[in-house]
Amino acid sequence: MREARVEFVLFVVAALCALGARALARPEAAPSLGAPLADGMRIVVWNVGGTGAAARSAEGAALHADHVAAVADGLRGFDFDLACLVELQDAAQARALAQLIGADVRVLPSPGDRPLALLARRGRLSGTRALPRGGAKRPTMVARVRSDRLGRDVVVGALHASPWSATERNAHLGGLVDALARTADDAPRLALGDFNLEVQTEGRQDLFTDDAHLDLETYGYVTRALVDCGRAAGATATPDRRLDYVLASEALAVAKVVVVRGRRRGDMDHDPLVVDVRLARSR
Amino acid sequence: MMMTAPLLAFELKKLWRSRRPWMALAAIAFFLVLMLLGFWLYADKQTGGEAEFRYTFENESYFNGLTFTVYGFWFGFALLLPVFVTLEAAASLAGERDSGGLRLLLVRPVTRTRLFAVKWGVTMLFALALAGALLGACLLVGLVCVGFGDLTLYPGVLQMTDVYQRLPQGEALRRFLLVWPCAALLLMAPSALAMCVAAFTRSAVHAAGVALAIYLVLHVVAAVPFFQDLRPFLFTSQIGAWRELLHEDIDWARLGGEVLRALSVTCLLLGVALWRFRTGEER
Repeated sequence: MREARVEFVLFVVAALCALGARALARPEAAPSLGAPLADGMRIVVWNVGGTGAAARSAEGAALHADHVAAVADGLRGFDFDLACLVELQDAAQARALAQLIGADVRVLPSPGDRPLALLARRGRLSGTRALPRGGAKRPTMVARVRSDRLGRDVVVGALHASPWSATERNAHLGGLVDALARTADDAPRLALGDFNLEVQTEGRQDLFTDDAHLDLETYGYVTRALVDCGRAAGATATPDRRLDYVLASEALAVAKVVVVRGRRRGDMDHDPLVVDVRLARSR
Repeated sequence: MMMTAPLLAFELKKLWRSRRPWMALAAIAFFLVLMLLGFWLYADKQTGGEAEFRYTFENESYFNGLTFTVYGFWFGFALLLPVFVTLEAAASLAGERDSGGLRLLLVRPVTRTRLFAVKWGVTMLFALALAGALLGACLLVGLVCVGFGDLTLYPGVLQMTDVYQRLPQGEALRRFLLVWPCAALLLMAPSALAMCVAAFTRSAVHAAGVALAIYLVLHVVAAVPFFQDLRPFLFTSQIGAWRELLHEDIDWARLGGEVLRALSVTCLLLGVALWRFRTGEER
């Protein structure tokens, strides 16, 4: 009977340890989006394409015409300053969306891929150009946006990286970072888009890539120059993957970052990533 | 009643004579030789112009003896040490039952609970010694063959961190000293699993086989990225919690939570094992 007490004690300790672990792992409440900063800039990155399940396509699908209004509603609700929309149907769809929202728009045509668009509100886009491809097959857009709330020009690079090739992602993202670094003036810099790479600290990271180590090399190269604003925000795509990024130079400080759930329509597989930045205090 | 100290000395003597510690040390040495060879071939390839990628954070100062220690200890700890600890736990309980040694031991005036506790204690001393041997050997090989320096961890590499980390050499060595007992503590769960299985079987081979199979199943399931809701309940996902100690700023709440989860599983399994060992009949 006395010996049975030892088992009882072990079970009690097991329960206490489990309760202790639960108490220590209290999850932080997800921040609510709220209103944008009066002296900041709200940035949205959203891959609005779908899995292609409806069209029985293995290559995914662009934003369906039926969902344009819902996406426009969502973007209006975010009250954004700069948005990067990935996997649109075509330039006409991007312009129609911009008209619904009342935004300035620039579209990056992408032969063999669905176009990407930059939309600006309370500011103007200028100096839009596509970067020379280099080793990447997909294009990169670089533009300058005048942000009224920030009171400054910001240089923005945007791209939709290859989901299939880590080598191509390396060339694509490395080229963008180098191009931003070569910008002549001291304007803050942003790199936006669906980069199709992820850095995991749990679970296997080799299940969705042809070269997990190369993706880490790429991420390491990119984050040596720019700050990954959405690092702590969680997954942006199915299944539990963080593929969409807002990267900022040190001239910008992250004020808030939220992955907004519940805005997908149809077979969409990404959630919008919303980031508020403001000018960092000079050191 | 037979005192604990002579019983402990007797169990330690049996372990020493069993040659199992020497087999484990030989396996660790073989593992480290292969690790060194692997890294040498990798470095040779990367510096021999065969690198497929252009944008990389890797450079001569990135990899040193401390980085080698992290790599060696992580892979050895997650996949090698649980095997030896499991074998030891299974041999000490089911092996002795199989050989008839347990019956002879129980003829002495010793309670089953005390005998169980001593066997468990010896297994844990074995785990502590093995973890120390692996860590010490990694540091020694790293120092002699590569040379020390600061410990630099890039995002995603070994899934240690998602943000760049750097520990000065002295601080890194102090952290490795903390890693040793923490890692040994985390080996309690796989050894408790083996004790539990061994308490229900009469063959050491069956006990070790079943315990290892369960460990590997849990290890694989814990590595699947989209099973994150399942992960807190699998002790294999907590086995690498010691890595938190190598971060610039240690998140003690996170580390404590992980260790408590592992302890909870350990106590639960030990409770079941003890109940079975205490109430089972020896033939």
